[in-house]
Amino acid sequence: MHESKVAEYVYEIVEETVKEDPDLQNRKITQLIFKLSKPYTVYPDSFCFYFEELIKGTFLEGTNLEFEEFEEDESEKGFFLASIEVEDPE
Amino acid sequence: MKIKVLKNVMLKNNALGADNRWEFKKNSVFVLNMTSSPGAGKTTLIKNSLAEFTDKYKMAIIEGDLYTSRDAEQFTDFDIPIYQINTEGGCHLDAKMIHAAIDDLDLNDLDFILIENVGNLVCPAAFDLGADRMVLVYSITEGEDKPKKYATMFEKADIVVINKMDIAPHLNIDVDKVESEIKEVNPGCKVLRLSADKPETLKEWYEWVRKEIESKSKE
Ligand SMILES: Nc1nc2c(ncn2[C@@H]2O[C@H](COP(=O)(O)OP(=O)(O)OP(=O)(O)O)[C@@H](O)[C@H]2O)c(=O)[nH]1
Ligand SMILES: [Mg+2]
Repeated sequence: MHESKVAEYVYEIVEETVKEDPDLQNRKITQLIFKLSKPYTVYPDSFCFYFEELIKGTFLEGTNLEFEEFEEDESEKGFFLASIEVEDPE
Repeated sequence: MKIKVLKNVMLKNNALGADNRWEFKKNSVFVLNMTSSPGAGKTTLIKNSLAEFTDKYKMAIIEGDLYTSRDAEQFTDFDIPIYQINTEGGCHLDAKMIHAAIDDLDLNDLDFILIENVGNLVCPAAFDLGADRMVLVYSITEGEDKPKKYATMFEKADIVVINKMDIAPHLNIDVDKVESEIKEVNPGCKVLRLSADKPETLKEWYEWVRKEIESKSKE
């Protein structure tokens, strides 16, 4: 249930990242890739439900969401926005 | 084109949690985050501890509740600040809500803040509030299997209080098994058994809180 709050956090992070990175500006974002570690504190299904609701009618509408697990030897723990994919320039 | 970001999403909350922790440390206030499933006995435990705690410490309560102030009304016999947070359906408290409470409370004039979180055995685990310790109140009626089913909450707890021990004899439950399941999930966790509505069973609980508050004030 707390994924509704997490969805808001992700939206803010994407907005901030776009603001800071000229490569991302004026391009359609096609995919967000997340990485997460076990035990989960954020459940992807629940997150997608709230996030897709949240982005309706915004610049992120229609963005694909992908989830990958951190490898055993990676030190990060938790729920990360790993990368943002945008359409290539014409 | 793929652009690497690698941002920890929960830092949105946890960075604020760290700010809160720093505020508490500066003012030498010990902060305890109390969690449990709905109805496990948080309010009862707080209510029956207040005579003991308010006698020894300058304390305040931050009361988290979905919509009502019913729990906070249980504490009005005591002349202490009570800060009510209504999450309006939200299933947990977050660091921002606690930050707002800090602005309202006079930290300088407090030794101890007890936070009653929203009754929920999943969501509060994901949100660092900046508290020093987390206590999980676990009603014996919840069964033997929950520590492994709701492992994240049990992993985060510093102490698990097994509550409603007065009714354990009427249940088909092995309390030692519950305790060993908790220890399997979180070996360092302290476990107490008590009945929150029977103040005479709360001595070990008072003692644990006292030690924690003393060790904080010495930091
Ligand atoms: N038999 C028995 N009942 C208890 C005990 N502690 C609490 N209760 C009862 O359990 C019910 C729920 O207790 P609360 O203290 O309201 O539980 P809570 O965790 O604050 O509940 P929420 O804030 O709604 O999540 C009440 O009817 C209490 O009287 C106990 O030790 N023994
Ligand atoms: Mg309560």
